[in-house]
Amino acid sequence: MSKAPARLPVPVLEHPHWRVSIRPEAYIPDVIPSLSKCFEIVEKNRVRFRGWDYPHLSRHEQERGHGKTWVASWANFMGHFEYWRLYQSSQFLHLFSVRESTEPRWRQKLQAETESHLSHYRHVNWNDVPGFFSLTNFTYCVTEIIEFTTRMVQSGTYAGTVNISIELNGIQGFVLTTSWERAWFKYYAASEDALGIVGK
Amino acid sequence: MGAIPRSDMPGHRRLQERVHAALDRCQESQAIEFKESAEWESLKWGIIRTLMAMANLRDGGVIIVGASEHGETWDLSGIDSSHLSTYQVDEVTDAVNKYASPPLSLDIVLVPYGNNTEFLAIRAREFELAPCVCKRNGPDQVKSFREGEIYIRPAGKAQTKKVTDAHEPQDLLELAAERRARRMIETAHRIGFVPAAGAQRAFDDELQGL
Repeated sequence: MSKAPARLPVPVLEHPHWRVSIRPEAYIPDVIPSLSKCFEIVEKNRVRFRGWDYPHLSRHEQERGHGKTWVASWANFMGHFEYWRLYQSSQFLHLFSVRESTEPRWRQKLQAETESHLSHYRHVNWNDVPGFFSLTNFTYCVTEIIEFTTRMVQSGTYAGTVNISIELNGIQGFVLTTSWERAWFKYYAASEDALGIVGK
Repeated sequence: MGAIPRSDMPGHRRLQERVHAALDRCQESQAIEFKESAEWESLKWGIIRTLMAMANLRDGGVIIVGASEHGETWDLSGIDSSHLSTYQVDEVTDAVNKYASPPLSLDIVLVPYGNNTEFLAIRAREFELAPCVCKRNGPDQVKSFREGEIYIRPAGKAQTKKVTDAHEPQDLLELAAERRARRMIETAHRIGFVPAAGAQRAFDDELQGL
């Protein structure tokens, strides 16, 4: 019988969110010898392309935690929710909110830009659209995930084939868009609530 | 073999990025060392020793010839063409591996940077299984090579030194143990000793429903 999921310190699962899972090919329970080494690995390999690191490693002790075989860090910052775990097996799980949705000002900005881009779609009531998805932010997020995985491989944390799974949850009806200075003419809305891709 | 390949060839792109990043910052480090442009013969011993130490680092290291520090300023004028003609890929590789055991895997490329400026980059890749050891004494006039010595790059320093106390090679020993373990795991996979199919379930169970 599987156990009930752990209660997380931040409400990331209650909002539209990304779920990223990175796993090596073989399961070796303690391929990372200690919990402190787990934190050290994230510290060394995290990606800082923009103002927010990937994954975010909080400096505050109260935003870090650990279990018997894993370490975690989380954030609840201006509408952004994030939680990750790195297990001693080197399995990495990362949950983070779709910021365009949980940060109200961002949502407003994207809505205004989309209304301007797609003003020829007169039948759409933009206030009813559940969320907007920034193409730029999407590209950044995927790039950060791949770069982080690459760094983990290069630093020797992963050997052999690495499995990466990227999912978006709670995004049905979200409209893909971009900032005002780029050309954007089509209306693309997510027909599914969860979308994902698995790669090696 | 004469021609040194240029780093804008697809196979050297990552090395080029690494060299550009170092030149952009004018910053030497444990894994990056700058050398002022000079002929191979005059830099030879320093290069060999540094490469042997860099091979003992995770991800190896790069020597960049053509960059130097003069007081408070950096001279990034690149490698002089008359100096460059003294570097032959085979000769450099043979000279290094005359002293390095096991032999080092080297990349020697010409890196364009800025306006018509080129730098010579010599990269030592991280060792495969066993750390690099000096296998013979240097000639009489070169006292810095002794059979059995191990050279390292101390953490946070652009410096090469031989191991002199038990504490120093700790990272190196850890790295060697890791490489061995990785090789064992890969071999176990190849011969079907580690069933990969069960791994996904083990990873799922580990998450405990999260």
